[in-house]
Amino acid sequence: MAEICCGFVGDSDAAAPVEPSVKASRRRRLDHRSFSLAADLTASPDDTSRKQRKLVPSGGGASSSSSAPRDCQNAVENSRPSGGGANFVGQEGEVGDSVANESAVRPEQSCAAPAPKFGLTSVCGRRRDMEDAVTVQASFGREGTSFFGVFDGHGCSHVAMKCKDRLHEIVEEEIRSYGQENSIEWKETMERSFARMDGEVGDWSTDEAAKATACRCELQTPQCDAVGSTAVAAVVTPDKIVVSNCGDSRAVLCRNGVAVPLSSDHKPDRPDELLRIQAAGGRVIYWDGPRVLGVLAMSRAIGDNYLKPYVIPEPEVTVTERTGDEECLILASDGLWDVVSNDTACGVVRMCLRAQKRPSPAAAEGSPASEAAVGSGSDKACSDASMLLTKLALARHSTDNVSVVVVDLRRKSKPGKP
Amino acid sequence: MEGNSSSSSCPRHLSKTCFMEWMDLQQLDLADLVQAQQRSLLRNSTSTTATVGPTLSELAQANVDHFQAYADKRARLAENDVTSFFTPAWNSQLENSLLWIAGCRPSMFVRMLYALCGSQSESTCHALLSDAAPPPSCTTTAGTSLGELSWGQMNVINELHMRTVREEEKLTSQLASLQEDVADNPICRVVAAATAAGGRPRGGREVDRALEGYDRGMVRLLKEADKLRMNTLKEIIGVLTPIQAVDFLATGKSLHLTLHEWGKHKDQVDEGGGSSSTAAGAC
Repeated sequence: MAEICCGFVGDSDAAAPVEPSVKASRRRRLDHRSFSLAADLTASPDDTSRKQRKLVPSGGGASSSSSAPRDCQNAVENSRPSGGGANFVGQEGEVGDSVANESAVRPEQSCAAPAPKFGLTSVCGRRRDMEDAVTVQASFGREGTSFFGVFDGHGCSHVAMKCKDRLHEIVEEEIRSYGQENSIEWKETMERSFARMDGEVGDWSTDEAAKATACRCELQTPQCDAVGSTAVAAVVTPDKIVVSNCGDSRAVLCRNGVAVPLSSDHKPDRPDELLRIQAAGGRVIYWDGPRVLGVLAMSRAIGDNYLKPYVIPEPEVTVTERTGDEECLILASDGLWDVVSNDTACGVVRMCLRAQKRPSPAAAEGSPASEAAVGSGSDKACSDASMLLTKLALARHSTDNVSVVVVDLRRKSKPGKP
Repeated sequence: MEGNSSSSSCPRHLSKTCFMEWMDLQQLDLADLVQAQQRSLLRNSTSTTATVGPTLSELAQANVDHFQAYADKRARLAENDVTSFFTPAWNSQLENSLLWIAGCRPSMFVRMLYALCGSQSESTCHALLSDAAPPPSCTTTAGTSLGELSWGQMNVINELHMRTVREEEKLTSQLASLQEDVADNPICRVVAAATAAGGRPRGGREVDRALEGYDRGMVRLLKEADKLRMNTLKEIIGVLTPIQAVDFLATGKSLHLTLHEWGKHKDQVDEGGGSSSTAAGAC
């Protein structure tokens, strides 16, 4: 039930259930609050994120590294509608159905490509706190365009959550300033969007609405700056795939059976990133792998004010023309990529989509939650593919949160088939 | 205190008996579960529908009921002997090192599910990539049904996981407060005053009341933790198919019984009373 936020933004049939959204956020606040009260202050070693070394003063005290309470809030929240527009909570059957329903009600459907089908899985996995957030906005902005985002937070979950709630809205606003789609300067648009996103995150402490959510960092102001998130976002239009990446989540395209990475991980030891950090006056220190100032294991991120200007929110943007040979797009957090190669992931998804049936035969029958799990047709195949990759990551002992979005990019040749 | 332990009606003895009976019952339950796994396998391979013995879901339910009965019984016993459930003398050191509020962490159930659900993914992916025939599924191999965990099930489990961790943290925090209270007044004041006066601190009505409060707090926490353990287990069983539930319970029981044996053996070795070969082999 967790982790899915499939919104339909800018739709005329947005009989917007704003109310549930409000309720949801209120509930979210309450959850946060009660959780904060129950804050467990016993630090355990695994509390220290692999991504982010806690800053321990040389005096040896643990004052600034006092372990924040674990927060498993956001995957639960992910399942709640995001603000704005008619929202679909991805429950059993809805992920699949939502896209199908959406394109079915659209009169222009025949002349424009329908939004691509997708599936996603996002689990807490072997960690005790959930800091991944995922958003899928089918029919985003213009006809046949969708937005997919994977955000892997560190330090706390609130930056990833805010990216999940806001980035697609910001991108949409930025796009709106262009008259025609073919006039959109994607690179600049996405760079501006990420900069705005980073700005909003930076304003967190002064943002009244944000204050109401009372997450654990706000109680510890100095820590509030030590929170960030990766962001990999894909805007899929009928003829383009625009991937913007900041951090070490990744987007991989499968085209003609070949895995083509559409983003390049921002690691502190990537030669150009290392030079950039050093030119800005920063240092990369090896401490359990290369880390900016010995703290953060990635060289770009949204948030992380205390590591600016070494860690920057500027995305690298790739614009890929769709030739019709694309099979699928996979967006995932490093919980997957740490243990599964691009080639394996693409191969698995490709075959799952081709098989158009469950990847695992003799599926759990008769289970209350199994049969109606996802919608019909290839969306189920997408979901099953994302699920299989998640299981593979767990089998290979991924120790992180695992989030996987699978987008089916194949052009449907059969007429009448949505 | 040692002298009392031989009495069959003393609280500590009753607590220990309760645990030993529970372990014996788990042995029997495990045998039933394994038998059911085999029967299910046979039924699938021969396509016979004749059922002998309880159905898989009846069996799973009976196991959950046994768990609940044990929890209920020890909740009653803890009223008179709560500390021995927090540091049970009948456990091995290994088991005691794994204790969280007098039992296992409920999040361990979820971790076990994660471990089991990936069991077949390697072979499934390998088959997909090599375009080979689908790998054998749970219909042909006993105990692997959790590899078939579906997308919907996974989402429910994930949601349960995060809720369970939150609840665990809440109780852990409450335990911390309870423990800290012992270093606070009135006990602290009594001890400090007596020490300053050069005497030996002695209890009094005030101290007795404080320690009784600590006991009551622990009883409450034990009940709360058992409730969380039971609820987590019940929710997991509710999400799983009958054969998955049986596989899950069988693995869980086996894990507990095995850790008990390994721990006992290790204790013997550490105390110089046994050969280390089995423990090494076992671990």
